[in-house]
Amino acid sequence: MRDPGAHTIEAIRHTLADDSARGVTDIVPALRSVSVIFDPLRADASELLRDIERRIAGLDLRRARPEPRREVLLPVCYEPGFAPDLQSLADRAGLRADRLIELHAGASYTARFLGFSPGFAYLEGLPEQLHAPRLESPRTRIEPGSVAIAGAFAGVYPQATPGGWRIIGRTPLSLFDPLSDPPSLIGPGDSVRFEPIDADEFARLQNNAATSPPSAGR
Amino acid sequence: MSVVRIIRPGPFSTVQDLGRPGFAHLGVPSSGAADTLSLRLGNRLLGNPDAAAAIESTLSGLHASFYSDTAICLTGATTDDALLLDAEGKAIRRITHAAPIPVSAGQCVRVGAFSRGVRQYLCIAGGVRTTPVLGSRSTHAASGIGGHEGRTLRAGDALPLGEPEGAGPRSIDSGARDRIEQLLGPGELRILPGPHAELFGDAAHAELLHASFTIGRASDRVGVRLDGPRVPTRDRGELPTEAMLVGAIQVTPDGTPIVLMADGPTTGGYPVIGVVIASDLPALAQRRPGEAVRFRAVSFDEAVGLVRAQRDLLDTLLPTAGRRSSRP
Repeated sequence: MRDPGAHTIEAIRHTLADDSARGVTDIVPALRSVSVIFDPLRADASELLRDIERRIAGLDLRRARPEPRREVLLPVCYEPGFAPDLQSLADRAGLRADRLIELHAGASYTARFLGFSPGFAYLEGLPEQLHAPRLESPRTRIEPGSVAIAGAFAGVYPQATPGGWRIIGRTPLSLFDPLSDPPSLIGPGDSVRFEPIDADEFARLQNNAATSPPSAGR
Repeated sequence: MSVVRIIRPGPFSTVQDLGRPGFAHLGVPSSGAADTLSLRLGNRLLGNPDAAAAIESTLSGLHASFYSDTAICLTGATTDDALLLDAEGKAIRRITHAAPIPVSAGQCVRVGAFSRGVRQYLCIAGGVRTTPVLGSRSTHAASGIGGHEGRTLRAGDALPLGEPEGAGPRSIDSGARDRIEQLLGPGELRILPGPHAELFGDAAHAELLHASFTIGRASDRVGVRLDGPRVPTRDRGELPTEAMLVGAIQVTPDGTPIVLMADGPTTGGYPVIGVVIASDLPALAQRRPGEAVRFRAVSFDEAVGLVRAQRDLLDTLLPTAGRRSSRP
């Protein structure tokens, strides 16, 4: 299937989310689909399907402008202690480490969808030289805030979870805080950039985050 | 405020209610009781709303003490080893399965290993009243969301309890209870075709519907792995990531079916050959490692009818407190 692109997926998600029908619990965008999850005791499935088809047919995708995209800037420390796979990825790509950082931080990304764990956004826009398969064997525990790549995607691990993406840096920001509104720093469709920082700046920002109330800095 | 204090938590105990829908687009699984039928049953027997939070224990129960007069009810997995103890730790009486009993301040509930089923609910009059997170008290331990500090319970934890409301505990006759619990008993799990059913050949569908699988040891609240014959898959990892659903039967590249459960990821990249219907998820959640699982295909209309019939049976035998019927 052809990739319909972030714009189309977002336009469909918004038209379905507006005044969402009774019994619909979740509208979940993914790479090439939007899924509507509903309670069959509260919604009539065929009526719901007709309504969804009508809404999508009524969309003028050339004209529809989705909600203004939020811009998220993520400070990232690429120093070796935070970037266990940076050198091997640079070797693999035939690049110097500083050139790899320049490429990663110089690109502009779009959050295509969230999944895997709360707040984990699949970021499109990774320069082609940095595309690389997942690690052969996943790590059992990844530090929260780890900035990683796999395939054509960039991402940031919000929680300490297992994972198989290649880790090239870490952000001191909290990616997901269930007590904030919105709880996820990156939402579907958002625009994301990375900004290199050094270890001192990382420590300073991390301390700030630890001493401010949970919702500050969002 | 009344509290229940955990003396011994059991191997994996968490606070769960009916779950946290509405945040799947942010990667947040619904969580909630793995066996919602038993949670509803326990809550209704205590006169609680269906969505009141309870403690879900896994394979073995907990030991907990109460600091105020209340009532409790154990549902889900059964045990021969459930006792009400006085403040000195002396047994007062056995606790009967799915029968509410009063508990006085200072008394303890102590539950040992389960004899049948996997997940037991310690329901308490007024419900467990930890702070709701994203609209629910359910615990998603992997991401530290909800429940008590976002984690499994430990010795020493004190959980706040609500004030009992409604008409209070009531009992049902054993025939009615058995009819409700038959819904959890052995039998085929009904499935609908999955979104990628067409990517599988006839041999795969035949295997899924005619073979007997057993529950794998590595099963948990994220997913139930099915041991047994492999389900041949043509997937070469080229499927784009899509939204997932509780009950989805994913097939990994080596042909292992995995049924996603309450804490399952909101998206996934393995093809989904079928989906276990909502009314049969409680039965699956109570199947123990090594026990058999068979599937049977139903139509969408049949599935909706089965879900409705299950809810109606519960409403008929045990209406929710303060409400005569959910139907006009």
